[in-house]
Amino acid sequence: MGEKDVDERRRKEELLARLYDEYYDKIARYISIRIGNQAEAEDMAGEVFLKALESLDSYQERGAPMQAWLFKIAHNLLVDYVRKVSKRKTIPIDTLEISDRVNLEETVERQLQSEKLSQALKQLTPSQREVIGLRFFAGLTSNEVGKILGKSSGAVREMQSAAVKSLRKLMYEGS
Amino acid sequence: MSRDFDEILDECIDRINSGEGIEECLASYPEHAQELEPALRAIFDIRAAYSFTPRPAAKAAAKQRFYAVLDSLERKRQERRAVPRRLFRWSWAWAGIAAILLLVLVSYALVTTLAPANAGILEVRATDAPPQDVSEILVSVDDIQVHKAGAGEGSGWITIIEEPRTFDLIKISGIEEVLGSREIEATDYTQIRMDVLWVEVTINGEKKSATIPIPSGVLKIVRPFSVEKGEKTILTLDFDAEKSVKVTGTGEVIFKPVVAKVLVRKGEGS
Repeated sequence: MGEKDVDERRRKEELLARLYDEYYDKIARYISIRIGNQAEAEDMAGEVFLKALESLDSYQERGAPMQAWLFKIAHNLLVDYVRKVSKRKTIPIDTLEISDRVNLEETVERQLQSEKLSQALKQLTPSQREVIGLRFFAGLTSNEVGKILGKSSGAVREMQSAAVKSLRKLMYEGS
Repeated sequence: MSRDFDEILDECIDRINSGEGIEECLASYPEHAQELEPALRAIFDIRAAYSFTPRPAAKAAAKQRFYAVLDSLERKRQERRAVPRRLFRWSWAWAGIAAILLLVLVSYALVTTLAPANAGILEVRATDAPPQDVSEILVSVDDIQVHKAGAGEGSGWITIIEEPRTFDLIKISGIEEVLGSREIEATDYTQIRMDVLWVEVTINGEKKSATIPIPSGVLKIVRPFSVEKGEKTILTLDFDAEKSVKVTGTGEVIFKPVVAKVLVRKGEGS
């Protein structure tokens, strides 16, 4: 590796490090909505950055921005994770913390809503869940989501609309 | 659902992602408000239900691991840069002694194994100087042979040292280590060859096996020399350390023995 390559590598490492604080949270949320386990999502979010370091040389800035590339890595990790735990029949739902008696009613309501949403999300196709995660939690644009999923931004918008329509139906019209 | 609505919903999601509320988006598209509102409410509900903040301790631990790997990568880069440079300085400073010395001693007392006054002894020595980062260069060789002039390629090889010999180019700094010797016929020779079995280099305390990219692991040197009757002949193979030991960008150590010069001397003993 020549001096130029070393400098380029360092520059990419600095860019990745700058993204850590902001995108660790987003990636953890994105993973959480896919697997329904916050603690596992935290671990996997950390793993995303380590994987990014491993394959940083392959990252091309002329393609997707590094943020989108990180979610691509997260997506690949999720695929591996789902494959490993595919024998499990249930997805854990994280329990909301009950803070005090005053907010008890509100907290229980939120918990019920969370469980209803969790059930509704399970009814979506994997691609629709992926779009929901990348658009609502990662904050990526349709164009960036399309690059990660290998689809056009138009196809992403269609999946997004279909997912929202299904969720709305499952959450509100079914109750 | 029309394509137009897909695009409007997409735009509203972008606006919500950037901090706007539902009302602003509905105000922009009143004609779609009836359809748009429940969709955006559903999105808000999903975000609220799953919008957790990672535990600071978990995030800090993950960040610590990330920076530990970053530091490790930087250290390795520094090492890779430093080792070849130091090897370069070291090899030039000690060019005269960074060598394996093959001492061919011609003895008078060879009547027992060969024709009278027609045999010699081979000894192998090594010496070196310790560079800062490289603390050990172990080289193991065996089957050191010389080739008799005029003999066939297949039959003219005479074995000087058969068993393996391992020497540390760092440890033997300033001294000469005799690796072996043997009586040989007093005549003309044209080549020396040996099998390089393995090389292990210790850089900053880490032992690394070196790749030896020479055909069949046999080092062959073409250098005519003579062993004269009744005299000692010292054959010195001077290895160029800079060219022999290389550290690649990936940290791989390569030992490609390069003999800078071959010295032939008379009259010195071991």
